Amino acid sequence: MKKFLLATIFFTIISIGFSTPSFAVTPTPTAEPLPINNTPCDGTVYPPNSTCYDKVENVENLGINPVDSNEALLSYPLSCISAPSITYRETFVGNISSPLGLPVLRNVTINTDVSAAQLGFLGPDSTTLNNTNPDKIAQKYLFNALFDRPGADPEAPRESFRTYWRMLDSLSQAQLKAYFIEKTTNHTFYYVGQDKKQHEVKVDTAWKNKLPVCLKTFGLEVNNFIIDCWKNGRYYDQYTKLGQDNPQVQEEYDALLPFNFDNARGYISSGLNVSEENIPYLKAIISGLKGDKTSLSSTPGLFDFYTPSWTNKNIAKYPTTPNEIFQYPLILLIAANPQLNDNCLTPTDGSSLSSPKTYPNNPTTTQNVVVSATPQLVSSTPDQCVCRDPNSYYCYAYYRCNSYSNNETSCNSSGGCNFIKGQNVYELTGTAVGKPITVFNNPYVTTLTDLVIGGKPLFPNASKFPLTETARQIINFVSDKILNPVQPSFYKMLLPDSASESASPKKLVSAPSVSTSATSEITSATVTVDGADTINRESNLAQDAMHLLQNCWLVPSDQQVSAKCGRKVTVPVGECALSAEPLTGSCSKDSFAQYAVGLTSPLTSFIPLVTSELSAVYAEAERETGVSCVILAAIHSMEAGNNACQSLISGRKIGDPEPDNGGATYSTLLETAIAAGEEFAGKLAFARGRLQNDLGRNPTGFEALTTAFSFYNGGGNSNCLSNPPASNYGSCPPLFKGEDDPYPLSRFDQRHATMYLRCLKDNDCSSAVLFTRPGAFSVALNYYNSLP
Amino acid sequence: MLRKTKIFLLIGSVILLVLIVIFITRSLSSKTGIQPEPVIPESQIGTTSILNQSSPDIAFKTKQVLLPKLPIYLYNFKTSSGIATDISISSYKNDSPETIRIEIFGPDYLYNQTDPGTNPNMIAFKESFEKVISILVENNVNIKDLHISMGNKKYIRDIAEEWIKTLNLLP
Repeated sequence: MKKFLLATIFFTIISIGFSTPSFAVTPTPTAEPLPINNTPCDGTVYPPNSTCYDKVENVENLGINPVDSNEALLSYPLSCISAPSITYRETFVGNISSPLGLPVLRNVTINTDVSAAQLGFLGPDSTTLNNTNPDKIAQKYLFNALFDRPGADPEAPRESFRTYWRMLDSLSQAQLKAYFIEKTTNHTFYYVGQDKKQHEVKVDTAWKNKLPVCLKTFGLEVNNFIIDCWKNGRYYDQYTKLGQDNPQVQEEYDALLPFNFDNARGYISSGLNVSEENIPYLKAIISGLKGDKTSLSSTPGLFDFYTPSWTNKNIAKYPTTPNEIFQYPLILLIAANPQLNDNCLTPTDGSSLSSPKTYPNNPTTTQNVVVSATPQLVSSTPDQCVCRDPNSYYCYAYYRCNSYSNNETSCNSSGGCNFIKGQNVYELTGTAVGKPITVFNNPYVTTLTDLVIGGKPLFPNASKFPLTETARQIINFVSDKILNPVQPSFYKMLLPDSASESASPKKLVSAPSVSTSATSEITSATVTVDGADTINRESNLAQDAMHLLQNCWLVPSDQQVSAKCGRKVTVPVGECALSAEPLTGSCSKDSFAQYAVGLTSPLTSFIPLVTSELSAVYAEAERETGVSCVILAAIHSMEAGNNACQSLISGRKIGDPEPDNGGATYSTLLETAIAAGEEFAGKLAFARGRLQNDLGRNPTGFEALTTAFSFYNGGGNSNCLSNPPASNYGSCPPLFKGEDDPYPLSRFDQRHATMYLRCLKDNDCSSAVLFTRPGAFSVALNYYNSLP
Repeated sequence: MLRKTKIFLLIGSVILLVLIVIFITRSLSSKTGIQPEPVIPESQIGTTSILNQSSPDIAFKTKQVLLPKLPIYLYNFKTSSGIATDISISSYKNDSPETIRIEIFGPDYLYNQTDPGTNPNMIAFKESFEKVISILVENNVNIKDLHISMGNKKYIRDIAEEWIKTLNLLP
């Protein structure tokens, strides 16, 4: 009953959030990657957009974890950079009279450099932000899953708008921003405006002066005037007036993400030195979920709106210290004894995503290992007594040097012979394993996991012990209700208990990248290093669990597109005949790879909705015609919006005559897919020849496919054709045949962002009309990128 | 009385025709794909075309003569109007056994003018079509013996056929 009430409240809030006009639109963070100058900033920055990194000021104390789920004993959960394995190889030349029989010990120095360390999860780096479909970003990164949104792209699929921030009512949004602006003195952020260009905004005194008082002053305790801002809706009046007086500043204000983007602290230590890491996104997500509550002020988080206040306790804060150097002795002590670190001894799966760097200081460390190298005889040369002049027959005949081969003294005193000592050549080989390097993860990672799937009970493995059920219940009651009250979490609020237990196996994050090298005291020796190339971080569970919640639990089975949902999607097709025989295949991205070489995500983020049944139809048509199922999915998207009841040829209902095909009728979707595929195969072959003729070389996959799509649609909408002209399309002449056609390339990139149909309507080509849908290639590439 | 009846019948027929045209136009505009808009009214499906004059039997036999030589592609064919065209003569596996595809890319079939004196695309089409006829003749085929499809888009087929008629391109 309690869960039902909470869920009801949750969905009520969602519906209110969506039905209330949005007060402040949160735009995409950035359009272009900005150069990082590897220096700390004075103010807070939004991690992927910064030109510098945020310096951590208050650091959570290292010690016994008194706060969160008791999975970790230490406040900083431990993981590690795995121990490096080295292989030693040396060629050794030894005296034949004293052969090597036992292993030889060699000293090797291992150097580890973590200066290129990345976070590996939680949020994307700027390159990923700009090159990846926003829906995919939201599926992968927790920050984007909860708070970001895919810019101002009207074509973006609804699924990519996972920003729970927009569910807050306008009052809460305004209060959060006012609090943030009031506390912020030097902050620069970037956003993409309505003009689709990147803008820089400095939150400083000059910018604040442009804002009306209610939008920049939170302090409820300051005076009655401020309170009136919130009570009487004055903030909204001032916001509206700002839009009339200074729309540019209103747009900048809208773009502000009022989360705590302070970095958090993490450490990497070999036991000899300590590197301080700067962990982005973590505090932003937690402050977004739980607000920012101190004894003096309080701003809400999403959970304040999802749950009744009596269930939503503040997160426990870890005590902090500004003098983190006092933590070093304990860090060094723990790191020097990696056997204490369970997360390092037990191999675990890892995952990693492109993400911002963490800029560790003191990034290099060394360790010495001793290799026991085993000798293996490669060749042996015996002692020899030879003529000093090897070409002298007299020497050979007179001195008979050979007879002195076993007697160095006689040989050398013979007058004409020289003694050459015999040699053994060995290959010394051996392996050794260094020490792992300990990673101290910020304690709020555990808090984050708890907020998503709920905290672990104090005695999670109670079933291993001979306790009665009553005893286990008592222990866990003490844990959950008294010692470590279970916080509301997405899973606890929305899903049955079993969901959080089977949410997802915990995976460490294998963040790039560690550079490890090794050298020997023997300069001619070769030492290779294996392993120790990633930083294992604690942990990806929150991110994985949120992915399952958003993409599997909360999505009807026929619309699930995530492979992680773990079951085949089935969809009733009603009266639509897909094929004469049941189909079981599915569309694989392999056949499209040749066309995607060198391409990133298109401008549009639209991904066609391809159910498993449709996927099977496209795959079968690919088998019949040789045309990639990804291309067929894109054609079906263009012609019929991937409606299973409508043909690939012209989007007409299956069974109706197809004027484009001379009035032919088809009884199944597969038949139309095969006909379309056959048609397209012909156009593709023709396009390749045409381009080769034009370009004097083999066309690229991109060129050939673009031209083929244009031929397939007749090419009549090529925007560089005149009379009627295609209005304001400004990229003529085309780079190659069909490159100016919206059918393939609409919304593929900035060059094709604005394209036109050349006729206004039937029988009226007096003016062009803006074409707002993505083209077939744009759709195909997004579908390709979405396939596993 | 008879005269009034005739007038009513005439008016009724015109209204009926207008309604049919509106209905066809609306049903076409509801499609989701990019459909370059036809410039001339859509002709009835199944209407005998000037490009399907021969009997199916002759068309089938003629196609068998040509089939081993297909596809025939001619790129960048220069026309006197300055428009270069690409010509494809082909047949796909599942096409009807009598039909040959003749596609001429390059002319703008949506061009607003239908007078060959002012529409260079018609000139480009004319010369390209004549080139097709000569290619067929070289292969011992008379175009009038074939059943021809001028492409996979109805608006192109309709306009192409209109131009063939207007310019009297068939021998």
